[in-house]
Amino acid sequence: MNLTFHIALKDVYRLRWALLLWVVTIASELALASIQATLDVEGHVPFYMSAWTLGNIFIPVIGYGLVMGLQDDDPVTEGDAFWMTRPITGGRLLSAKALVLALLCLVPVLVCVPFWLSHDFGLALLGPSSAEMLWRQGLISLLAVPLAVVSSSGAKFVTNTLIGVVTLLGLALLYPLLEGSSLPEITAPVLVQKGWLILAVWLIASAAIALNQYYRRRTKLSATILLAAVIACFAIAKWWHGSGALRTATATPHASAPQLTEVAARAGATVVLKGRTLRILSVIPDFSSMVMIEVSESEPDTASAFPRSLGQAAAGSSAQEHYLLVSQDDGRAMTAEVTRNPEVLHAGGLRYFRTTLVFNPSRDLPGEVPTNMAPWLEDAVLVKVEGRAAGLFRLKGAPPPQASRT
Amino acid sequence: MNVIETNDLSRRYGRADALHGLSLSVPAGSIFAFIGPNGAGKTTTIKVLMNLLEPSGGAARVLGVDSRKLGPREREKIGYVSENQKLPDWMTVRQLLDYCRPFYPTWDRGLEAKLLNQFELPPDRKVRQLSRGMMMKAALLISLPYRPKLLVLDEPFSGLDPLVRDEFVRGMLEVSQQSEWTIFISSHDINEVEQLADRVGLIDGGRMQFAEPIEGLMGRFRRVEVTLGNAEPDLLSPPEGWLELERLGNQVRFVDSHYSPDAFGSYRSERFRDSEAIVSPMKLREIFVTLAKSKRERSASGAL
Repeated sequence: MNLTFHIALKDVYRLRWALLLWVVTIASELALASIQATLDVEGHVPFYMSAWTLGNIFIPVIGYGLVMGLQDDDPVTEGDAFWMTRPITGGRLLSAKALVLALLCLVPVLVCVPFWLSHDFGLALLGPSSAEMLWRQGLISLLAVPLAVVSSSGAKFVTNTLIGVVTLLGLALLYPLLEGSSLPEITAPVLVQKGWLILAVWLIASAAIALNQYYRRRTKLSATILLAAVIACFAIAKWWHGSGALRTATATPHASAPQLTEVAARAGATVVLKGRTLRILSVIPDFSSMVMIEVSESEPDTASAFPRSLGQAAAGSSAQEHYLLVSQDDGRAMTAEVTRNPEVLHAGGLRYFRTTLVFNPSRDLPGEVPTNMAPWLEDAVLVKVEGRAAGLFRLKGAPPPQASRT
Repeated sequence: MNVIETNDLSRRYGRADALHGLSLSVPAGSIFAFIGPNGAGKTTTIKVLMNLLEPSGGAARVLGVDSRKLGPREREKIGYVSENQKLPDWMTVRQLLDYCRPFYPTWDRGLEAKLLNQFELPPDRKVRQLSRGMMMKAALLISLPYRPKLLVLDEPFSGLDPLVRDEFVRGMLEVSQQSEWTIFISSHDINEVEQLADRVGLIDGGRMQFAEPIEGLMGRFRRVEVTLGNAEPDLLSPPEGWLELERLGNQVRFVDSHYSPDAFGSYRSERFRDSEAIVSPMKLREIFVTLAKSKRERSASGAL
């Protein structure tokens, strides 16, 4: 075991600068996402774009490249790699690499934990958020591992990756041309079944390839397994019609009990509660008695079923939410018409979005409506009600709550 | 006891045979020079011995274990230095030593320090920044401090300048006096291995030509120059061991590969009457060149 750690430590030391770059990139994404959430519509765009680029391009690419870097020092293709001439067995090397791979999956979680704690994540949220983060890097590693172990060098790994991308594009073009179910016909549960089956096939193939390479170094056999796995995955995607024997988990919104988040109705007011942040960007009362509130929000990205990538398909729209503007002075309240900005940023286990709330006091506020809403708003709070039972908090006569985005 | 033993070993790359029925034994404690021209099969043999390649047929035993089953226990007793070896070049020499040390229970830190000093390697320089000669020394440095029972050197002199070669050989000789080990050294640089080896094996075209003690080999090869007298010699059916036979005027030259004074004396009195003969010992390099040439001639005449 000591020698396994010894090899693992060597790999971590070798990858230290790449790991540091990765950590800085992840931290930068978190910082940029947080900054963009505080800025107005025009000001937030560059930060939003930078955070999106880091999160969707740089972080996955570095994570993918790290798997290659991990393998590159001890190639397991035929040849006379240094480790093969030393008292190191394939099993020991594989254990060491698996250890570092697990660490690689943990790195984003470790970077995000302080960030999540600052967003009032309790244990109930830390668990799913960590799992979601592990899942993401796990998927990236799962894609990279079979290609890395059949590549004798970094250059070959890049070439194999390009071949993989071209193959995927080719299969995507082939998909509609072949007879079988087309994507729009596939129901959400079948889509989830397909996803899990493809994942299972790929996982088994990756394990077989890794074991074969580390123990026997039969690269041609590994390439054959890889090809067979790609064909099997494509066949499942195209021709699997679903099976009643395979049950898909129904999505359970994270907060099934109604959750109330309350913030003073004035620009700059912010509340952070159980992973949710509600920030008022602007409050515009006009003299036609309309009140418009721009809100920047963030919430844990685990609101739908785990994992998000598969869970979204089955989650549907079971969670509900609505916004109330309540005066603490006279106790009167009204419900908002909600307009969501379509830009949603997924970063660091949170999803950031912007909401425009329009309140119509003359229509919705019971009793006499003030000519100038500004004094009334001084004592008002914005309350966001969400969860399956959000309807319980509906005001009398108000429209039913909207389904939330998941 | 033989440290290396191969029996009818063969290895194919696709349809090309790299090794044909190679049988070879290397006794414990010997320094075995495995010589042959480029592409003869030296590196393939070593890769099979080190379990870096699987044999297509036959078997090889290293330290008494089937080469396909060489495990960490055996590798702890084997040192391997190859011109093709890829060292972790991002490490410094010191980091390389630190990395290798824990794998060997018998690692001698005193010997490590002595070798580091002897090889004059800069410990804080990265392996990729070392010259080729220094890199070979670094490879040797991490293969000696655990006092391996078998040291396998694959073309260790390749690409080294003469000065470094001398240093390398001197270093090897010094270290070999300190340890009891078997050295298996493959090279096409015969002058260098001649200084080191006590046994020699020649491989050509994937086939073992011979393997025997170097003294015996050099004892049985002689360059012979006969100045003929009046009698005309019979050169139509020379003995089998005569190579490079040629006649220039009244002189006959050849290499006797099975020389013995008695046999040559009786042959001379029988066929080269009234002649004078000069018999000179040969260097290993000359023997190698003679054998290579005669093989080429045999192949050419066979092809015709």
